[in-house]
This record gives sequence, structure tokens and C-alpha cells, in this order.
Amino acid sequence: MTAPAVLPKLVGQRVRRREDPRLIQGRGTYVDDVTIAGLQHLAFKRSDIPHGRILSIDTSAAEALDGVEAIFTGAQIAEFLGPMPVPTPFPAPEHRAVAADVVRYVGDPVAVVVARDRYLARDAADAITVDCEPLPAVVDPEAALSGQPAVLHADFPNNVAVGPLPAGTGVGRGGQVDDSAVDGAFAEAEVVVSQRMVNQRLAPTAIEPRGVVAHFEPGKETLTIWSSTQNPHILRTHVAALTGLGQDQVRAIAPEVGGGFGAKINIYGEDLVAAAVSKRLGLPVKWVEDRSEAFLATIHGRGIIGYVDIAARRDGRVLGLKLRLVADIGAYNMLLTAVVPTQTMRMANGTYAFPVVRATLTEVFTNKTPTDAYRGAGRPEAAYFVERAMDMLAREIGMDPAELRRRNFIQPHQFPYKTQVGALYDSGDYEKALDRALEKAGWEQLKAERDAARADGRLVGLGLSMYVEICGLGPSARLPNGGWEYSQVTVERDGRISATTGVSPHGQGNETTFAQMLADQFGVPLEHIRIHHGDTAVVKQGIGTFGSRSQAVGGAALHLAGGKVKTKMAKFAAALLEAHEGDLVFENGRIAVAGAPAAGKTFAEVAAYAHRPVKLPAGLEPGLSEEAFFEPPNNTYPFGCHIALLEVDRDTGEPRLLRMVAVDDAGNLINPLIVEGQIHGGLTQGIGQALVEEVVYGDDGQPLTGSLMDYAIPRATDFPRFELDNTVTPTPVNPLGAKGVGEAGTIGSTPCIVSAAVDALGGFGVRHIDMLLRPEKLWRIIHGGNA
Amino acid sequence: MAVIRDMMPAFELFQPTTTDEALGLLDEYRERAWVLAGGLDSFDWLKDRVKRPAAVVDLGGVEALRAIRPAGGGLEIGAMATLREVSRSPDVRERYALLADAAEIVASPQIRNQGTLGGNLAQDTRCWYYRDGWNCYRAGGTICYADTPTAMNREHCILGASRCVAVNPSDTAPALVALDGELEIHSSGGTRVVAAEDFFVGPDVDIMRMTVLEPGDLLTAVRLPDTWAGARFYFEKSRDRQVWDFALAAVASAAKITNGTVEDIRIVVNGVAPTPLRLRASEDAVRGRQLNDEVAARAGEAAVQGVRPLNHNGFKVALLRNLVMRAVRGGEA
Repeated sequence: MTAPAVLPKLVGQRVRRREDPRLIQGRGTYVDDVTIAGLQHLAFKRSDIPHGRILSIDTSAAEALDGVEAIFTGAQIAEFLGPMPVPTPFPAPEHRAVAADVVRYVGDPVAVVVARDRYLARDAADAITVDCEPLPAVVDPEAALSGQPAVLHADFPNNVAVGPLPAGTGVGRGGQVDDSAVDGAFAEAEVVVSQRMVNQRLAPTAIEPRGVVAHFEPGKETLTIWSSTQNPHILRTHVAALTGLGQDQVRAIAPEVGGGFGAKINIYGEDLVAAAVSKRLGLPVKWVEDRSEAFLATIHGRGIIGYVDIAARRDGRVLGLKLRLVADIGAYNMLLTAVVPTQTMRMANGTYAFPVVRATLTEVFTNKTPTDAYRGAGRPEAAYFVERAMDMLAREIGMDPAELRRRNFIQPHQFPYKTQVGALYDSGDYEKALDRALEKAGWEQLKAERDAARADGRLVGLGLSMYVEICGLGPSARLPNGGWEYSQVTVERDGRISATTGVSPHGQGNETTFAQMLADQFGVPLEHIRIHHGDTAVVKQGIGTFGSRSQAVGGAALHLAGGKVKTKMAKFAAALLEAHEGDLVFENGRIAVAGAPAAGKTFAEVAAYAHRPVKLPAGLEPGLSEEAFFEPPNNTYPFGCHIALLEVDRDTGEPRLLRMVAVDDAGNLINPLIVEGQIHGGLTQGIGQALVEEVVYGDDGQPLTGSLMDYAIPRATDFPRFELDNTVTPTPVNPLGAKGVGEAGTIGSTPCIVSAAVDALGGFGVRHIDMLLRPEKLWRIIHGGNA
Repeated sequence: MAVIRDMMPAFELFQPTTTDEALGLLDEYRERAWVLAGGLDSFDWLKDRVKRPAAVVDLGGVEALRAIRPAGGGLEIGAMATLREVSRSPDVRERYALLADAAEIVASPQIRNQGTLGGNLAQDTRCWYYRDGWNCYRAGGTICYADTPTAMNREHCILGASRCVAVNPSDTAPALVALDGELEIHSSGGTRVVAAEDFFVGPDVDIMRMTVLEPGDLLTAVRLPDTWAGARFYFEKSRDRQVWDFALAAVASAAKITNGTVEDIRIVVNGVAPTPLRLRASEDAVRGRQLNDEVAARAGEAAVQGVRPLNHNGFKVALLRNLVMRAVRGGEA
């Protein structure tokens, strides 16, 4: 008998993504690929003014078109669809999926067409005439706080959605504020740096726009909804509640999803309208977002102004930080709109043991597309404000920016560390990440090269930033739908393994990483394992994919479910082998007594026995399928250090990124290749914010970046080769020690790019440059603002 | 005005395989016809539902329009040759690297694989007021929305405007003008050859067209004479991001230099005026002179004489001056 093949351990290995071949070859099934006999198509008529009262809607010309099944105005939709769900703990104005009386942003839906094909639906939507009385547009969030030029929602005076909400030193549980400690720190300071900074609006811009197919089957009284979502289970909850169905009657499916970046967490009006219209008409309906529609109808990210004051001594000891935030949240509260800016408050300490911190948040309604979660969701903004302030301080006192950070870090022995603003950091070793990055970049030599280039007249700058962020969302206390995750692991009759997970991957690679984990856990080949996800009829429970939680929370649930099955399988194997279950090892596709592999049974033999247990060992039920829910006790707080070298062309102002070094610590890594891919994508979006991306509204409230010609997304040629490395500081909050990495790259990179540009142009007296780093803006700085 | 479009209205699609067949269709449909080459400018117009032609004549099947071949000591490039075919052609690259460089910097690789030289030369302006379907001068109306006190006109003209302040966005156009290129235009009435500089039409001549092409006309080929073959070339395009962006300003230059003296030079810019603009005063400032920084500075100053910046594009003045200086220096610091 030949010795069984030795299977390598896969956790920690650079296993290629199993998802890629089908996606690269165009074999993925997206929402728009779903078709059903009799399918009708929806098109939304949207407001082309930012603010106005609807006087009348004339649908007669549209209704006359052959093939138009139905048209519903906002008022008609309201007869059979309730207001949008807003489960955040903050008060929110009523929000109808289709506006009935007042439109509040360009893109706000006012009617929906149901027609035979999507072209006809679009023609019919164009043929609808909406008569609106224009109201003044609220565009500038700070001016809006005076209630001028208009108030969006009558119950929210001065357009204040939330706040002012204080947090940090001297703020009691009831919100009472004692300023003495903060004022004391600033009074004691030898230097205070203050700056207003704008973290501009971004459009998430997934390669696949949103889409939905809803199919209500009157005979069965069930509704199936396919949606390009990051969380089908949460979608099911809301669709059921709003269509008057039970959760047992609704099945939500997230087929292949072409990127989400947080924008597909939200429960959108179009999904709810599709479900309600399908139920109303008894017909399957489809809506797929156009690209230009996505710029209006899908949530935006960021959009927050920060007033930062940092107090320090000249030796680099920071004494305190104040951060006053004004968030421009747009026209309505969506699912997480109000919560995202609170994450910026929560991360106001950054990686530093600041003695006092005060953060204050005000959220403001404006006549713009609502904001919600976008990759990082509140943490990039915090890292930006804190790190830019640290950089300004370093310049002010003439200290190396790395040294300034080093003097203020939270130290490894201080973890778990409760910050001034209430976050409980799980673990960290910030100095280690800093040192690794400095070494990787060759910091001292880089500084010399920069100085030499400057001597030659070139405008070269170095930027460094630290970051720490919140990953592994929940726990349940922090999320309106719960913060646990679910998994079921089944060893099939033939010894193959089917596993389900409540996370809903759309680029995170969990079909690969989760299979790696199970392959090692059971000692079977990767090819024998399938990970199922994204269908509430297949995956019994779940929360979804966001907040870098797949590995830290979903992976932990998988690990626990796998452990339960393994324990049970060992009992069956022990009965077959007449051995003690504690002596058994699972490896190389066999279950055997340790030290005597040839005497064991194959994995498939034990699986077959468990499914036809003759005879059944005492105390066991047949079968090998177990489930687990994992509730994390806390978030994880991954961190890192990013360094950028950037040159500005003196004649044209064009910035060029010359080097980008990123050292990230996400705890234990399951698959470093996938981790690097996540960081590459994150860096791309983080650098994109600094260099090219911005949602722009005119003073009249009209969006000016309504297509990919006007809204720039970064391209490969915008970047040098990314230089990555990592340190490993495991987290104690889950059994894997994994922290999560989906958003990391987006968080650390943005401030270091801006700091590099400020360094490059420091000779012209500039202290801070608001994003984005448009060549024209840089050129004006070089030339003293004179053309 | 609809906010969301992205879906083309219906039109009749024709896919001829010969030039004559195409000309017959253009003659039949005249101003109701739309010539489709690579489709990159066209599909935007159609999806935006701003232009609604009755017939679209797709030239993709007319193989004869794709050839790149030597002709009369120079080179003839079919109008349907893709930008990639132009930039990778050894004939173009070796003798007319200026055009190869310009073609190589258009948009993105996917667009260069699909977009054609003819389409790039004949493309419409990017002025968003016009493209968004506003009834401006260029669309037959009586106002320029880009030249009002509140207009967003950062990308618009600083030179040569006449009522309309939109710029020509083509990257290959200034290269072709600098190379003294010619364009071959067919119609049912016959064939004519137009100098590249005369091919482009400013609003002072016809505010509703970018080129001399009229209904029924078909641009079939581009001819490059041997005048500037192998000269010292310089092409630079300044833009907000490194790929898939139109020029804020671009410069194309061809120069003949002997022992440091500029015997002759062409300096052509785009993105700053309604047409690609040959800068004769800058050329005169350089021609016959020893090449040095002072001469380059003089050429740069000559380039910006008479500029009329709008509210948001004053930066283009310095950009133009600096690009011309670099072009004269030829890439040497």
C-alpha cells in the first residue's frame, strides 16, 4: 500500500483565489444576468432639481406608450410601501423611497415606470412631466446650520440631524461637559496648531452598479429578491417588514456582486420598490442602475469638515487634541448615515496616548445624495484629521514626523487600552510597525535623496502616517441587526465538505480563505471543500460583509462550527477504529490513531459511516452537520504605517507618486496573497481620494460630477509599484487572532499623500492643502496664487 | 431634461463594407446620418440622448480604411486605423514619432485599441454645457453657458474664442498640424484634400462644427509628407490625471536643428483654443536662433500674447507658456 499523499498546511499560504477563474472568464452570474419569464423592467423618474415641492406629475404621455405596464408616483407608492427603515439610534425624518411631496436632492425618485423592456421603461420615464416649485438649495453644510437658505426637514431646525454631540475627556455619560481638563492642557501648551480640513465627498463607484430582481409568486406567497448587496440577510429583514411579509416568506440572494465598498450595505429604496411592485402586480421585475444614475442614487462617502486643534510641548509631547466635526450627510438618513461620522469621533485618539481628547460632532442635512458607509466609513476621516495635525505639528516644531509619532504612541504594555473617546483597543505595537516601515522605505536615505532633489530645484516631498482603525464589526450592542456571525459546516456522505457562511463576500476571497481553514482543520484537500454564501435559503442566518468583519467574525464562526463537526466525527471514527477519540489525528485525508496512520480510515469512510451508522454509537445522532454563531466580545483594532514619496512638477503642478510603502498589521493572516490584494485595492482608493476623486456640487445644488468623465477614479498608471510589508500582532478577541484588513489601505494612505505634497511645497509657505491635490491647485501654491 | 440616460434611443444601423457603400448611405441620409468609427465619442452622444440620428453608418466593416502604407515619400494612414495601430506602426514610430507619441497618450489602452485616428481628429468638443444638451451657440442657440459669470470653465479657451469658448480636445490633431499633414475627404461629389491646419474650424467660421466635414463627407485617410520625417519631436499633454483624461493643454513640436541652431520649427498647441493652434509668433522667436533657455522663454512669452482667460482657467496661461518653453527645449532641462 502506498503511503497517503501528504497535504500541506494551507493557512498562512499564498493560495490563489478560487473565485478568480470564473470571474475573469465572464462566467459569474450577476443580478443583471438573472432572467425570469414575464420579467418587467423598472425605470425611475428622478428629480433634476435639488430642492422643490412637487405640484403635479403628468404620466399620461408615458402611459400611452405601448408596453408600459404601470406607472406609480410617489404618492401612489406610499399607498402600499411604508417609509424607509432607519435603525440607527438617532432621530430621523420620514423618508419615502419615492418622494411624494418634496424632492430633496438631484436624483430623488418621484415616479417609477414598469415596462416590457428597459429601453421602453427609460423612454417612458423621460415622457413623464414633473411640475415642481423650486425651493432654495442647501449646499454648504456650515452655512446650513443657520437654517439658511432653507430647512430640509421641518422637525430638524437649522438642518441639524445630529448634535452637537460631545465625546472624550470631561464628557459624562449623560452628555454633560466639563472643559477644565481640556482647557488646562491647551493653557499649558508651548505650541498649538489649528487647522480646518475638508474630507471631501466621494462616490464609491463599484464596477458593478446596483441592481435588483424581485419575484413575488402569488400562488406560494413568497418573494425572492436578487440584489447586488453586501448583506442579503439584513435586506431580507427589511424587505419582509416593509412588504408586510414574514421573514419565512422572503428569500434574498446576493449572486456575484461586483464590489460594494460599503455602498451596498445600505437598504435602498429601489430594492424596496421592486419588491413592493412585484407583490402588487404579481409580476417579476428588474431594475439595474445606470452608471450615471449611480452617481446620484447610490450613497456617497466621507463629506466631513474637521476643525483640529492640537496642543503640545516643543519636545514633541502632545498634551491634547480637539476635533470639531461638521458632517454633510445629504438629504436623508439612510441605514448607517448617522453612525458613520460617530466612528470618526471614536477614532480621535489615533495611535496616541493623548492625555486629553475632545471630539464634537454635528451632522447636517443638505440637498445632496445621502452619505453612508464607504470603505473605512469614518476611520479614514479620523486618521486624516489626526495624522495631518500631527504632521503639521512636526513641521511647526521642526521635528522628524516619525520621531513625533514615536514620542506619543500608546505603548504595547498598555493594551487593552481605553481611549479618551471610549474605544477599547484590543492589542497593538505601533512602534514596531513604524520601525518596519522606516526600514522598508529607507527613511534616512529617502530624506537625503529628497534634500538632494530639492537642491536641484525639484519639488519632492515625504509623507508618513500612522493609522489604527476599527474592524471585526459587531459586537451586537453596536449594530442594529446584531454583530455576530453564523456558519454551518457539513461533512457530506462522500467525505466532501460543504460550509455556509453568513458573510456575503464580493471580492474578499472567503471562498478561498475559509476553504483553507477547513482544509487544515480536517486534513483534507482544498478541492474537496465548497463555501456557500449569499442566499438566505441556503445560509440559515447571517449578518453580512462590512467593517472588515469577514475573517475576524465570520471566520471565527466557521472555525467554531468546524470544530463541532470535527469533535463529532472523531467519535464516529473512534467507534470504527476502536480507539480513543482523543488519540485520533485528522491528516492527509485520513483519520487515524496518532503515530499509526496506516491503521486509520479514510475521511470518506468515516463520513459514510456517520450517515449510515450501523450500528450507531451510544449518545450520537447520525450525520455530520453543525452550526455555530460567534459573538465577538469587542472590535479588533488593526494598525499600520504608510510612507509616500511624491514629486510635484514645477511647471505644470502635476503630482507624481514616486514611492508608496505600506506596513500593515492585521494580526494573523490566513492568506497573505489575498491580504496584499485587499491592501492594493485599499491604497488605490485612499490615494484616489488624495489625488483625483471628488464629488462636486455647484452652488446651486447641481451635481457636477455625474459621470466617469467628470468623477475621476484612479488608474494603474497613477501609481508606482506598492511596497508592502506587515507585522503580526494577534488579537485576543477571536480564536483566530485575525483582525481584518479590508479597509486598512484606504485609511493610512490618504493623509500620507497629502503630507508628502505639503512637504514638497513647504518652501512656498504652505502648511496644509485640502484635497484633492489637483495640479492647478498645486501650481497656484507654487506661484503664489497668481496665474 | 432627463437626469439619467445611459440608454440609446432607437436608430437605423448600417454596416457597409466598402467606402462607396458608406458614401451612398451618407448621401442618402445627409444630416440625419451619424458616422460611427470607434464609437467612443459617438456612444456618449447617443446614450446621453442629446444627438438623435436617424441612421448610424458603422465604418467598422470597411477594411480599406484601415491601411497604413508609404505614399509619395511620406505615409498614408487610413482614417479607421486604431490609435494603437498608429502608435505601434514601425513606419509611424520611426519617422513620425510625434504622431505615435500623441496617439499613445490618448485616453486609456482600451480606448486606444478601439478608437481610430479619424475619430480622434474629428471628435466633438467636451464642453459639458453643450454635451449635456443645453441649447448653446454650438447647439444652435443664442448663448454660451460656459462664458457666463457663474460658469464652470476651467477647461475652456484662453485663445481664439468667438462666442463659443469650447476647446478642441484631440491629442493627435496638434501633432498632425505640426507635421504639415493633410486629410483626404470623400463625398458622392468627389474627393478633396485639406491641409490639417485648415481641417479644423473655429466658431468664427462655423460655430456648429469642429471641422470642415459636412453632411455627406467621409474622412478616409491622413497623409504625412516627408517634410518633418525624423525631425526632433516633442509632445506633452498636461492633464488632471495620468490616464483617461483630456488635455488641459497639450503641445506638439517638430524641429530641425543643426549644431544647436533651429533651422525650422513647428509649435502647435491644443486644449487652449477652439482649434489646434499653430503658434507662428513662437516659431518666429526661435527660427534661425541658437537654442537656449532665453530663446525658449521668448517663445513661451510669444505664445501667451493676447490670451483672454475666463473666470476659472487663468492657470492655463502659465501652463501654455511652460509647455511651449519645454517644447522648444525639446525635453532637455
